[in-house]
Amino acid sequence: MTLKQTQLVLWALLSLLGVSGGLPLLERPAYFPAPAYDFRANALTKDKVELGRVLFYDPILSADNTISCASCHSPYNAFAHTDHDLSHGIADLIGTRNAPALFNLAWQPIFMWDGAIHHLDMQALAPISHPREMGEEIGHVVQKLQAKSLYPPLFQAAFQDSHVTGQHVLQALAQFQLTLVSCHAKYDSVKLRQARFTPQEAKGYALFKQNCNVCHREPLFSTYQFANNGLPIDTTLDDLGRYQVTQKPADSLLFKIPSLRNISFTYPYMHDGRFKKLYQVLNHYTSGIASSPTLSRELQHPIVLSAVEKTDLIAFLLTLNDKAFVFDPKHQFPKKILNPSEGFEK
Amino acid sequence: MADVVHKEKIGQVGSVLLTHKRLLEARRRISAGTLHGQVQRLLLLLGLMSYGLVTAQTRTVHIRFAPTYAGVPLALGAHYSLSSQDSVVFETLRFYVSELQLLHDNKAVAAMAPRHRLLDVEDAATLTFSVAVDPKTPFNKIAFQLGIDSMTNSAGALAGDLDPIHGMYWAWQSGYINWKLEGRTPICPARNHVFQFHIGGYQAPYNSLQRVELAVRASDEIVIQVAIDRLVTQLDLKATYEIMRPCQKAKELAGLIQGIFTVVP
Repeated sequence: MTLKQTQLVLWALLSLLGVSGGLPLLERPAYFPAPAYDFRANALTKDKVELGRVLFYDPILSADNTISCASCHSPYNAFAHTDHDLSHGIADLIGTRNAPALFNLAWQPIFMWDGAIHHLDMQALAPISHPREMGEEIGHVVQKLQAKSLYPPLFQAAFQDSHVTGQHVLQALAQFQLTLVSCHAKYDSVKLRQARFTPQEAKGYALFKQNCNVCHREPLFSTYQFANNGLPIDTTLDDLGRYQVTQKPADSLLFKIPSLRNISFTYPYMHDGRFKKLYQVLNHYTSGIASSPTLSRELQHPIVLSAVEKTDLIAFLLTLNDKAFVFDPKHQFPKKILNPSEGFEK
Repeated sequence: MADVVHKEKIGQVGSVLLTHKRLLEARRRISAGTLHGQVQRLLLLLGLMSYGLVTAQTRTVHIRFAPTYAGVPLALGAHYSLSSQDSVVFETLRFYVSELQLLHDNKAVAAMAPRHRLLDVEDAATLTFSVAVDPKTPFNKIAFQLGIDSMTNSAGALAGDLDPIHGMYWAWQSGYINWKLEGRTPICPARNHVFQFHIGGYQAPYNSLQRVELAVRASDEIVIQVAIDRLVTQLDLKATYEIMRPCQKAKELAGLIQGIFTVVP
């Protein structure tokens, strides 16, 4: 093997690991399971992640250039949308579901509340195309990006090709989102033996393991499977969840189990954002379960928690808040590149 | 073993697509019509001639898909008769042909590159392509898949004909549209009398991928007729006019579509 070949192989190996400039682009705590995302087809590079970040924050992705991904997935809310029960798109149009928080996506095998999307690369097509979200069309997005002087050099740097394609737009967006890893909550410090739970948090942790961990499994705090958690159907939406994708009666009213990480930042809760407060969520599980044929087996018998136990459980849940993640500048608006004064070229 | 071969093939797709893109670019430059372009055209011609001399061992088989209505070439926007009273107009016909092979006694002797092609009636160039065959090797069958297989469907964002910009990928639910046929007929009760068939689905129980196998004579040109009249006259467009998701009806329609491909003798 020549030196050049050796370098090439080394470079390929490093990009497979997502290593660039010595720092891994993808944080992978030892106690996390293996990621679900296949990095072989879209190995992380610094330039692709950076392009993805610019695209994520640029409203050019929407039909009227007003709504970016970050409009409904704000970094300060762990990439969810505070104060909006349902997603808020172009021209003040309101969608039918709550914008979910975005983190640890490399470990998710399936996306959206109903699992309609099976690959992170393809996920962005859904909000881009939805008439009540961004109302655009990927072919037109590609044309707009090609015409905006900012982008061809960024695509050149990322993909060695200044010609914008749908594939590269989607891969770059996926790359940025893959780097949104939340693993610096107090829970993680305890896991690494760098901190200890307070007695109250420890009691809450025990209650959590007893009552919640089957579905909200550590360390990701979700199995990312689907479940009917006993929410009475909202007849203004008539959302049957997973059934709408699979058409199987057994999937009626099943929704993807969300992670409990960053729980203080991601309210309102549930697929339709019906609960604003954490205590409302706990009250639902202790006394609000609506029975139906597809109700989760774990909820067939009510969860019993005293008022003190609820407080303890909440104390534990707050240890899942990851401020380092929420305020990480490398995930935020790319001020240097996406200067707001830059006009949109029609 | 088969799996390994399959993975290797996937690895090749990128380079093949790249080559295809370069060819397209070359074509674009040549068609510029300038003096520079004419010189380039001459050089390319010389290049092709010398290539022909060097590789005289290769036989090129031209394959053309010919969508027709009642025996005449299908034109978008033209009126055709659906029955003695009613007419029909087609506005879109696009479909994926994958893994096309020429076979001799069920053994593949040549394969199409790239592995997947999007055929679009609006762009006649997409309906014709060629496959290189060893001139000494006979063949008596052509086989291909109509649509995109589940592995490719699950491979993330892809390039070239598989790029979602071609409007052949569902945004709201992951998966390629294998076959898209849209048009109008007065008997169709939908708004503006429009019918829309976006046929796809790669997962059981609604997998709509179809395999087509046709006997052929070993000639240098194979024309495959796609008889759209045979499809629409089997449908009741009064009752069935919108299928745009993986479902039982889509699977049934895919079965009907499979039957409208024939080799022109």
